[in-house]
Amino acid sequence: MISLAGVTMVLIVIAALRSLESAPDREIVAGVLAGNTDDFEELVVRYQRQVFRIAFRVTRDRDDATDVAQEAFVRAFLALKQYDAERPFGAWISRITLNAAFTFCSGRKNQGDDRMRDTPYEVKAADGFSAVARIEIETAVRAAVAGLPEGIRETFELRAYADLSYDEIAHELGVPRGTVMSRLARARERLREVLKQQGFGSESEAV
Amino acid sequence: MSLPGKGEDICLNMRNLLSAYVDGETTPEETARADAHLRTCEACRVVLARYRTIERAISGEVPGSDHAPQDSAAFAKAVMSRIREAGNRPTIKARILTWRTPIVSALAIAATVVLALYLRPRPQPEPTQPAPAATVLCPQERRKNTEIASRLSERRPPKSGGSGTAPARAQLAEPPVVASAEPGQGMGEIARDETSVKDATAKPARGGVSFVQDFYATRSAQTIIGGATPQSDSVALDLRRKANAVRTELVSAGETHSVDSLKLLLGNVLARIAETSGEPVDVRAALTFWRDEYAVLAKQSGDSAIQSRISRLEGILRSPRPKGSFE
Repeated sequence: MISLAGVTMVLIVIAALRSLESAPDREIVAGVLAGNTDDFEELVVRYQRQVFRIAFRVTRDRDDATDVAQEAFVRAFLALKQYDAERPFGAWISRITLNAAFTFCSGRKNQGDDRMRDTPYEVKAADGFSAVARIEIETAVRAAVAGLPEGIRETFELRAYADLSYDEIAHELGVPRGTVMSRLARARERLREVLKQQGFGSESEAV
Repeated sequence: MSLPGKGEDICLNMRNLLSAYVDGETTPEETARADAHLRTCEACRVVLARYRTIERAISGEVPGSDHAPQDSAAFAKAVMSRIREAGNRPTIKARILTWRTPIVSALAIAATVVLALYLRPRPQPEPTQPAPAATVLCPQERRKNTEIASRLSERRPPKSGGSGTAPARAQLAEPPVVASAEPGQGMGEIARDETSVKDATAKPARGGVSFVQDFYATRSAQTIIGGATPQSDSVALDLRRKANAVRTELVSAGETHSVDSLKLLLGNVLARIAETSGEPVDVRAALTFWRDEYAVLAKQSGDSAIQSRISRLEGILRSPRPKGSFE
């Protein structure tokens, strides 16, 4: 009789775990807001790759990306009440991550550290050309993106760094999809223009 | 001085379409329309290639990184422990504090001054006592420094070891991280969000902001000195010797001096080194070499675009030494 109760308990626990794993994001969020703080871990598990990838693209340093990714999840947790459950959670946390990452990088920059990190220190001579060319153009592109007008820049960053779809960006920024499309087109034309002015014009510069 | 493509202006009616095409956000009909146009329009093909270059420069994978936290289970645990230690529940404080922050900061500064005056005659034994240095910071600086302090104090999940970048990183002195001195306290005390600026003001990180600044100042100085190693210099000299030989060949082959010919030059030099020795090349030396070559070209042509390239490369070279390596 006791063992039957035990088995039942185990089954209930397993069912509860299962349901957390298969629960949609919004239900988990509701649970966390209701006080089940631990359930937030499920969201961390679901989105850590995505969040880390964005953090890495911006910081270009594994350790810094780990710091930024942690920061993003903590910020998301603290701001969870502001999350609109009608929107995709991934897009929401992507935006938080981007902001955290750029804040982090500007802090790094203020400390005189404006490098492209994870730049290989040594390369095989045969790959040396592409490595150096890559460093040069990546630095130029990032500087050009930073110089875009505010609204256009954010739209472009959500697309290029965070890989969000047009619909997700539209939702996140509260603008029509067509606006997202035209902002991105303007961003690209502007970037192309800036890079061309700096002499990145010829075919051999393609990375 | 660069060689612009033939016609390089995008057809006006193609702007949105080509951009969406790069993003894979076109409908099947739009895709077909773009494909058809690209088959006939050279200029738009060039533009498309540029768009892709821009895309890759941002999202392109850096060799050796797999874009995941090293240990995902440890990562999730670290996040959760930070959340629990913060002892916080989700709140809407963030929104309120955005406009209230200046007031809060002003009050906090006033409180700090009073407290500092009150406590002045004594030594400073208590970790909770605000660092006097904080009183001279404006709110923006305070927030910035708080962020820095917070990121220094964050815990990294334990590494699973075996990382190729570890030795290179070890060359930089690790910050004497506040949190590590006192597990369980540093993270809870230090603000890591604009929402907690108030708390940070009341209870600054032990050691204070100036401590963090000192660390960074020291580290920058070290890494700048470390950047100009004799090793880099000798490689750069070697590159230049080989470059001169290659340049002679290029000139005799009728290559004009341009950004493109420089790239050809560097590519050839590196290829030659690969053939003869197979030795890895120091990236810093290659960048230095390239910077110098640009300088020669700039002198000859007076092209301002090249000047901006030179400054950019100098910026990279001024930064702390690039780390890590790949095979």
